[in-house]
Amino acid sequence: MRVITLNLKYDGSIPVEAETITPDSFSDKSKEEIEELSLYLGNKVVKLREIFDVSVEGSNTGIDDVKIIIKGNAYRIKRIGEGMTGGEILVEGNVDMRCGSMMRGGKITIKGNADSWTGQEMVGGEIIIEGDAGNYIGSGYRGALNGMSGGKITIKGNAGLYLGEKMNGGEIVVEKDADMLAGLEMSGGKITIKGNAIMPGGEMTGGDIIVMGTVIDRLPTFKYLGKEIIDNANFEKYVGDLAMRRAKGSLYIKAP
Amino acid sequence: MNELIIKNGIVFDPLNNIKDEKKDICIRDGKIVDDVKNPKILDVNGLLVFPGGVDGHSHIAGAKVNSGRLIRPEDGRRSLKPKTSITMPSSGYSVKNVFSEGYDYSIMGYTTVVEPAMPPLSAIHTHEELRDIPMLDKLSLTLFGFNWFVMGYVSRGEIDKLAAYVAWMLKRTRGYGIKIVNPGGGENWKWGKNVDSLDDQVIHFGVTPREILNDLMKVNEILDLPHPIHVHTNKLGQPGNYNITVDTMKLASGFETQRGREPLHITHVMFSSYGGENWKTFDSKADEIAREVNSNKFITVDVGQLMFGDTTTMTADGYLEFNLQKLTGFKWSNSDTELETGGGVTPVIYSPTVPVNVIQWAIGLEAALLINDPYQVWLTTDHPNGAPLTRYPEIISLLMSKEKREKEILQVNNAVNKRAILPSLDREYEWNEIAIITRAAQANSYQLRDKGHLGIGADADVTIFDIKPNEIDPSKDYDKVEKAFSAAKYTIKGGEIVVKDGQIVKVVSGKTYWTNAEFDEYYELIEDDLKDWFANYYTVNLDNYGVNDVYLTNPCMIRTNPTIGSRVRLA
Ligand SMILES: [Zn+2]
Repeated sequence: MRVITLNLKYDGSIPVEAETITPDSFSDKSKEEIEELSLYLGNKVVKLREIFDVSVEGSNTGIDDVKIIIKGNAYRIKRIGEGMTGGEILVEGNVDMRCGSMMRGGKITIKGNADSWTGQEMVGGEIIIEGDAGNYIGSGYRGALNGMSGGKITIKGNAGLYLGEKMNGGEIVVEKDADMLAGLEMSGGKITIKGNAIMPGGEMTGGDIIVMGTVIDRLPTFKYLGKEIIDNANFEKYVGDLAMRRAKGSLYIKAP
Repeated sequence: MNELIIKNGIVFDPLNNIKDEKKDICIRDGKIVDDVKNPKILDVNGLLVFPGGVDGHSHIAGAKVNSGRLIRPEDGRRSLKPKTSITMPSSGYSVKNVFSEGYDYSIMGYTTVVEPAMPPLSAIHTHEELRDIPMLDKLSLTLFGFNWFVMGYVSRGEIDKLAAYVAWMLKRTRGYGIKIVNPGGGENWKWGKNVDSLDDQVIHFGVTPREILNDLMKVNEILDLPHPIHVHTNKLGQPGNYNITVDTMKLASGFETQRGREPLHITHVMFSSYGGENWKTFDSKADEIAREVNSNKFITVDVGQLMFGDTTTMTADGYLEFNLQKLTGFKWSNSDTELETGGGVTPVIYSPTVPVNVIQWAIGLEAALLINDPYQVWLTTDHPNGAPLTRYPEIISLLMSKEKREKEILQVNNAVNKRAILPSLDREYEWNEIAIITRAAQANSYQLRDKGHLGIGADADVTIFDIKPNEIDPSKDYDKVEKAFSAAKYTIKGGEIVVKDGQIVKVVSGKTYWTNAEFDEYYELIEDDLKDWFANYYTVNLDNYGVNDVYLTNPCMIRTNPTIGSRVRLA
């Protein structure tokens, strides 16, 4: 196992685009080479060492035994772990938008809050957000046909708007509440919301949404099918969103 | 004096009957000359030399392209390239940003491109975008196919007024020629309908597609316009449309022109060569289309080749986009451009496992392989409708190699063996024919006398490809062919090396050609109509309509000799 620690020293408010911070890109690079990687600070190219202090311990044989630890409040560092295929990233504080977007494998743990578009279009791997999450978690890029299609995202706090928008595979679990329109336009996969949800499943055509708390403003375009038992608990099952053609989405709401 | 000599290239210059000749090319101050004194020497030692490429039909600018960009931000994030010290940033795959349109064409060796569908009301937008496209000389065709003035004059038989209106409009929009999309049918679409034959009537106007086409073809000749009427046929994109396509081609049969050019061009013929009665019985009628082209010297076509992958479709034929969107369920935009035209945009995914797409793919190649005279068939993808412009190199390698086609046929749905004829075609294009379909034929059809060839006096637009035509066999080495056409060794634009080893090394801004076909008192003929209609029906004031030269980079006016006005009185 090789542990690469990035100690954030940048405290400006201009966002940094850091898609080069992945186990894939660090795997075969020396400490010096990692320090020389390019990041965008706004519209300027900077070296990674200008944003982070780098320290490296141990050695690795492949991507899977690389672990990256990011220390400090990375709330302005975007796109960490973009497209990663293996290995591990631990973000000890908060993180800016698009963390783990297009991720294919490996694991990202965020101890703080994650901003919007975390896990956007992810295909595989796992993301754990221990704090709250922003909007469009596991969604598609603006205009894209599909959002997340595989892997798993766990949010221990609350999730923002449009959770799993255009999702067509994989799994999202929210331990607390989800804001409006979770599963918007989703066509596959599974979203479990342990707290409350507002208008879940708008324009969904497939996949499952399970709400264990209360649903506020359930959309009238869902049709009641009957009771169903999931993990020894009683749920009311609906199909929708019937505003869409050939909609086969399932919405399960915990029976009172 | 700025002199350059390209030494020892193997030159193919079809318009000057030069084929496979080791020949030096001399350039002075942006023109091809017969001799130079103190030139910079470019020894290209046996590499393939073509005139700069000319694309006669590619949607690169204007309202439709921009609405594609707006509804497809997910396309914009593809092919990203950051700004460099000389180039602007690039983005997009099927709906590219303006800069990368210029760079990508130039890297493939193209130097002149035609935007084929300019709605008059968006002429400003079109020219503003053309102005920002670097590296290329540009032309745009103005849309007339279901314009209310046009249909009004056709219905009243006022052909002199129609000529005056076309001349006025070309000047106001800085257009190069007449584009006709779904003649008459586009207007019926505004009522939720379409036309089904050349003799169906346009709602309210009472005219037929046949009358619109005939009269605009006549006007094209009266005004002495350089390019034929450029026609997107009725029923385009519908199964069984090959009949109406053949009928449209026959309208041109026997129509002699003074310029010696053909009177009618059928664009992206792939989309108009469909058999069958519905999508289930859909099959290729490329053979019927080719039969007509081969026996009718009065028409040219361009292929509109489809390649597998995703792209964005856009056309002034709103009906077509509506139906496509019904099939795919994808996002869609539709527009109604007041009294003039309309249009639609929707993304599409062409899949090698979908029988219809496979047959469409085969039709384009079949048309190119079955039409005997390469001057009658230009290579296009109708960018981005059939495929983005960057797919040209692949298509060239398919045309040059039966082996490559056989390999592809094994990969795609079996419908290609049952409802297309591609597997039975043995023809392989030669270098010279490739030079014709990508350069000479298109320059010829637009009568761009300084383009598409390397004779004395031509613009010094030259492409040198990193391939030695005498050392490779394109029917076997198709991968090398594709690679060479993807990235020119050198592209020379107006005598300057703008691309070297597939990289932009110099950014230039090209010319914009437009046609001035004014004749004596032409404006007086239509003045009252214009004032009346603009006052009553348009959202813009007549004085604020159109563009002037300020909007054009290096405007280049082509003056014609209309046989109307004081020169000839019409009967
Ligand atoms: Zn077109």
